[in-house]
Amino acid sequence: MVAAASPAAAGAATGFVGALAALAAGTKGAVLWIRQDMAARESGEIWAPGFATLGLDPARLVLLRAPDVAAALKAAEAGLSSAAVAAVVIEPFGAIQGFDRIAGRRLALAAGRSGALGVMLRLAPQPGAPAGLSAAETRWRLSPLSSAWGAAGARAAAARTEAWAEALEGWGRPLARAELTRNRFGGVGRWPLAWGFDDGLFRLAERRLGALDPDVRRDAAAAADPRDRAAGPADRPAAAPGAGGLRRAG
Amino acid sequence: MNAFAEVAAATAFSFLRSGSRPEDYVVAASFMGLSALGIADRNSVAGVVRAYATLKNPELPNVPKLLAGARLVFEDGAPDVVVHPRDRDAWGRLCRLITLGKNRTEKGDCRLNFEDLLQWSEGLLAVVMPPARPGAETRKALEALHEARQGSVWLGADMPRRGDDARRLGALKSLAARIGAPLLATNQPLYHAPDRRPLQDVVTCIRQGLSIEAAGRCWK
Amino acid sequence: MAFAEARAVCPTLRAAPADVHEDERLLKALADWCDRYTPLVALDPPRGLLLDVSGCGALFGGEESLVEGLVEALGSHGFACRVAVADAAGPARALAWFTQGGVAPAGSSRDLVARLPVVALGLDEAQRTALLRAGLKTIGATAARGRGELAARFGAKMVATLDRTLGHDDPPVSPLRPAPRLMVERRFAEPIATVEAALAALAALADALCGRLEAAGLGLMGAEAAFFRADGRVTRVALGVGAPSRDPRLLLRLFRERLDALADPLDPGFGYDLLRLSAQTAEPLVETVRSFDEGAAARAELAELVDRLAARHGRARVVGIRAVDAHRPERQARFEPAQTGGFSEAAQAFERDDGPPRRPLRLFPAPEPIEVVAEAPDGPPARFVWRRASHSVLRAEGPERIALEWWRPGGAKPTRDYFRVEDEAGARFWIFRDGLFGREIEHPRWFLHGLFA
Repeated sequence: MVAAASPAAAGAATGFVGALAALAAGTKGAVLWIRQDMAARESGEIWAPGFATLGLDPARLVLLRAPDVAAALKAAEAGLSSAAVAAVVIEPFGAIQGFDRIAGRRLALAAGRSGALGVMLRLAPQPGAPAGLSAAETRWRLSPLSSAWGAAGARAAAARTEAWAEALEGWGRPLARAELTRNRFGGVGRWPLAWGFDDGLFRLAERRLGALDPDVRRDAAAAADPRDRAAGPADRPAAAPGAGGLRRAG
Repeated sequence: MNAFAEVAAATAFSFLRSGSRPEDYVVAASFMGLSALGIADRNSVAGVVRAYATLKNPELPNVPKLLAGARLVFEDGAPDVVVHPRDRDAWGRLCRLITLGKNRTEKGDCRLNFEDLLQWSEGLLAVVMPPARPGAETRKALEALHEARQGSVWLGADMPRRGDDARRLGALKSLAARIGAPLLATNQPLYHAPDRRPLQDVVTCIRQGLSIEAAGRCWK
Repeated sequence: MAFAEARAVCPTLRAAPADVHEDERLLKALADWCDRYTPLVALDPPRGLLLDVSGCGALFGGEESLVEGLVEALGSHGFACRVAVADAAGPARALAWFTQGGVAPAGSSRDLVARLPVVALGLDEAQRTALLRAGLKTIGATAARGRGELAARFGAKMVATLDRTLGHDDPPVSPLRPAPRLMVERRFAEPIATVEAALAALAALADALCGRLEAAGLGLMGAEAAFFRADGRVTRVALGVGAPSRDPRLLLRLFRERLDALADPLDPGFGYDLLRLSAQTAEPLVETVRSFDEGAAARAELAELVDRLAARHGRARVVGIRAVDAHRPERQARFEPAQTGGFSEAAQAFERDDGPPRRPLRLFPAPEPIEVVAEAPDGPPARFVWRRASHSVLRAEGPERIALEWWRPGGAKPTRDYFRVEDEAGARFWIFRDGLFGREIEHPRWFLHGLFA
């Protein structure tokens, strides 16, 4: 389950989930993205031109507009059970009381059988978690990350192009701060993540110091958070395919 | 009169790339108070005569200085270069260069390589016009020209408003500084007044052979 | 005669206001009910129905039997009616209106109609009077006059009506419901009273229908199952598939999904006495050799999932995304029902950025108005308020100037200058100013259009 920490974090959360879905889909699988009508009104529709950058080919995306939670859950189960679908994303809206323990278990079972990835994306989460979430293997909270951070290794990539054209890179690379709040198989932690364009993965971000931004210093002070380096076995770049915890249902 | 000079205006003599006539540009430049106007059509100097004729009109409030030249478009991947001859001899050289290109192919077409420009560049003031994403080709062209004709070579800097203007300008500034050539601001206008855009779009459609709905975003 | 006079004759006479719409609705309901006899039912307002029963006689033990059954059934619903069966629609109608009804033996329709008075032609008052004055009292007599003469005196339209009434001309009935391509049905002498039994019967029908499709080399694209209750109610369930199919198991599975999702579940009431399954539309289907191409198998699986989702949730809710080459950003991707698109088509590919993305991940279909503080005329926002929260802008890039299509009806809309902005928290937004300051609009408004990662 991936939640957005604030309305403005909806972009970061969507990017994170999109990248996970793209990884799961690989070159052949399809992604079933289910969104409840109200969710789109609240946080906007997913937008294919933006998705292409994340390596998710919009041609393999099937979007279902569900009128309510029950329909969304039913469709999610159908998708998770189908061999053609590699990942199912479900965007519910509101308190989702209908998502009880049984519904959660059903989704987890379906995902477990087929090996597909199931993710629930809550963009405007209400306080109080519905019982069904107990079936999720991992729970995440996503918040925005300032462009004062950059991709580790981005310098190397830039060196390949004309040095004077490095200025063309600019800011705006997808960045997010991902916090793993519950993990059935390991520890929790927070990681700053940056999108790498050349390899199509989220990687650990590193602080980009330099004369570029006067606000970098302010950022550095604010973000010196001891929790930034995770403890425990979960301390790995979250999007590496070996992160088994995310394979089934999250 | 303001100090801006536009060096790279394309008229209807850039066949099917513009719908504005040389006369229109001269009048617009005059009313805007531009200090100079450069007519630069694609591999052609045909628009210059009309422009000169319009200058003589006594009703013009200001008379901008007229630069007569051409925009050279190359086959080998080099960026476009706008050239304006300094003197009569240079003008002759430019005409011969263009003729050389035209002789290589059937009527209407013109095939030029960057090498040709280097050979014939004496007396020509050259502005290298970088493409949307300037890269190695732009650098090589600028370097070669600067080496050959230092002092008469500029790097054109425009603001195409595609969302990355600041970055692009920064990169161009960097490049210009490294090579030692100055930057020159230009708009690369394709039409002389904003209300002429529909005509411009239609002309582009004709050139591409598409209907207006189908053309999508292929125009500038 | 006037109402008062009529009341004088029959004192217990009651009057009720005429309700044309109700009458029409009732007629349509009756037409629906008559579907059990033949799918080709047309309205003959204000009080008639035309049924094309060619070839149906056998099903009912003969045409007389059909008529009797019809009269009795309608009678039990409280309707008195007269039924006539003839060789063509025109004669049938005339006979039903102007005789006691019944089945006209084959070939005799013309003679029977000929004996009818001219009023049966349904002409207007003037023409009818003219005929009577000319001494033409029956249709037969009129017909004997010769077409040329009649056309000259009464016009071509009258002659056409005459032809139709006599059955010389028999334009096909245009039915209320489109005629299905192929149809199988089963009647139950003992009505089936449970939904399970109905589904079992439907399964058998599916087998039969698919057998017929195979024999014809067709696959269905749209199917409809109709459940006829003994008391007259008809429940119709329709569905579509993405690619022609004649797989009875698939069909049944899709119907189950659809029935499951019905707002009013199937209710047999006193039982169903007729079940009909039709292939509404069909297309040639050539059986392809099952390929070993993994891709093809995966695509087929996906297509089946899409069909199932569409059957349950509705075709319009399951969509795929196609790129559109348009200026206005909100038009650059189009949602289309997934059943129509082929997933293997590349269609037009979306651009991939290899730098900071130029397009957001989420787009608001209706851009959200925001309040902005920005430097005039061209400057990016320095601070903005969205949904009552204030954001200060630390980084901005742009403008990306998008001039909207001037050729669309409605005239030119203002030019939009789009900016990518990042606020103090690191959230990135896509914001635009609607209109060029001064040049197009005095006080342009600002909108938030999308969110970046």
